[in-house]
Amino acid sequence: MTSYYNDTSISAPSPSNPGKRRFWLYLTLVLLLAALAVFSLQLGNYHVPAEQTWKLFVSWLSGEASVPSPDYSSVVVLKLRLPRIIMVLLVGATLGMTGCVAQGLFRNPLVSPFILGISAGASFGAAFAIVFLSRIPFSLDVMASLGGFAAVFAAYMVARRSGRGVPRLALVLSGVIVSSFFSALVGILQYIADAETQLPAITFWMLGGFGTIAWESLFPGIYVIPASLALLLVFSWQLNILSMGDGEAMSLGMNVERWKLLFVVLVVTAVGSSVSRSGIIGWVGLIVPHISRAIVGPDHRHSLPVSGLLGAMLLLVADDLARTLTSGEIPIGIITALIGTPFFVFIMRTREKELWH
Amino acid sequence: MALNPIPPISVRDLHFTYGGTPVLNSISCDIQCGERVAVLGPNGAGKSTFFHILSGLLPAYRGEVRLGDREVKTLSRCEIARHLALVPQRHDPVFPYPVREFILMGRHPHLGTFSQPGVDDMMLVETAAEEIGITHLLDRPYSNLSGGELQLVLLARALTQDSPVLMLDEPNSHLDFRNRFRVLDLVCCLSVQKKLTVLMTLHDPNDVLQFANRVLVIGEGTILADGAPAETLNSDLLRRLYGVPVTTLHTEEGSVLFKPSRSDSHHETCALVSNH
Repeated sequence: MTSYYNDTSISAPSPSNPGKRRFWLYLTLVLLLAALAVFSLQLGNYHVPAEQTWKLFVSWLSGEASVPSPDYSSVVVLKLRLPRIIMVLLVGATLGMTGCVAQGLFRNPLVSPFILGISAGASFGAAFAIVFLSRIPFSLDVMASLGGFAAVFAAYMVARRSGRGVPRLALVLSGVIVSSFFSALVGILQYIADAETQLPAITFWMLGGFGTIAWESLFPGIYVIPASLALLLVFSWQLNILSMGDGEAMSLGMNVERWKLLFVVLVVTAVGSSVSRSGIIGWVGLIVPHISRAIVGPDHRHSLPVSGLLGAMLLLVADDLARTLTSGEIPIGIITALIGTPFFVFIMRTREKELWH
Repeated sequence: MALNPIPPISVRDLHFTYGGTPVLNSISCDIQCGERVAVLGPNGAGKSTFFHILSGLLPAYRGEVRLGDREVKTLSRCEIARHLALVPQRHDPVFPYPVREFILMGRHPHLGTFSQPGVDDMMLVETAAEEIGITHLLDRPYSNLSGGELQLVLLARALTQDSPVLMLDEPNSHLDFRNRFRVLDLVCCLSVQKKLTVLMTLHDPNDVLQFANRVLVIGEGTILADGAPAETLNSDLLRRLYGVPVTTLHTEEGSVLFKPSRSDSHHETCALVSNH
């Protein structure tokens, strides 16, 4: 009986082994990222020759770094640049992946943690921790995550229309509203804050940057971020189901509310830990998922890891530019905005169908 | 059938109100294994509400709704999905998944929280695509399909769900002349072949005559008639249901066709318009 319905069929094009192609893609991206990271180690205003940088890095890898004489080069490379690069990679991967998750979760290619107000909420949480809770360990990370959660919940509830889901532009708009509200709250905290000790730390969030990263500031993010991102990868296929919309995901047997909550918690945990170290960085989470889907397609089992790799790469390039373009340091948010805005205009003009319909 | 006397769907005295307005009133019916049931009724009669209650999306009903031997309220989303597969009335694609990945999502209720679909699931996708005759679409993005193709792809996804009951919400309402026929004919073939119980809302009484072996007529929130289509449907019932005069035509092959007829006064109005 099937042949009867096959009247319009042409023989299907044989799939050109997508598994193999993807393997090479992942390998290329990982090697490229590793090369970029090592290259970034020797970039900077204090000149350390490439050869010496490499030697220092290898000795650090083999665990000898603490032994040799603390000359200035080794301090710059291993105590300043290396932790900074690690943090940039973690934050970049977080922004790329959480952007991808947010777009799938809300069926909305126009959102990112930044657009949804998660970044603003997290920076309020972090500022609140600095002013009121500075004695409690890990209060910075926890409060940043809670702030991010409050923000995304507020944005979602403002945009939601009963029975008709969440209109795409309404979600973008409510994210703008919520961001603005939390930025105002941060402004209030800046007035309350102690001008000597607390204010500089808060002001830093408004700009975003990795200039103050040292080994100590990597904790607990260096555990929390990879753990959250790994869980997102484990659950990546569920995002495909969620991206069908609430009603269909339910009819496919998914407990939609529970999964949405789980994804949002993982996203705000990763973003909270990132924002509390790096400050607000826009645009990466918005554009990286678009590039990733253009390369590997929309299946989250692949677009999610590729978003992580591309996000890390993009932020590393932006940070390299931030610390080398001038003799001082440009806030990284400026660089990502300068790269991101024209790129998003390009996406808007060329992928209109995907964005608006 | 004798081995399994419990009907896959059993509804007793179902009431549902939405915002104070009664939508469904005292609905009772058993749907037996292998039946192909059409739900017929005007827009707003409560057909979609009925479907939503059966698929567990509206738990705030009164009465008894059983899927197999259990009340639908007490079942998890996953258990419901393994019992009935729903082909939605409309679907708005956001991301351009390849058809293969899209159909694969039908396997969701059979996979654990931490597992991802494997080779077996991909095989089931291929099988479903073959059964429906859409293997040539498997590598295309599903967002670029025509309405008829998308309907077939949605049907394939429902088949990979591997549930004994197939529910279709207006499966042919926005299809062209050929695809309207093609989709329903395919559903008929599959229901016989795979011994599926089919429940579908239809708008055209002629489709009901041709493709269903039982019809539930829903009007004003209640079941007005229930039985074999040829014996149940008549021009009086349809006139009462839709509020337009209906003519019954008898074809040479001995089958029956219903056709809404224009009232005389309406004819005169048109004549007046065309004269000026």
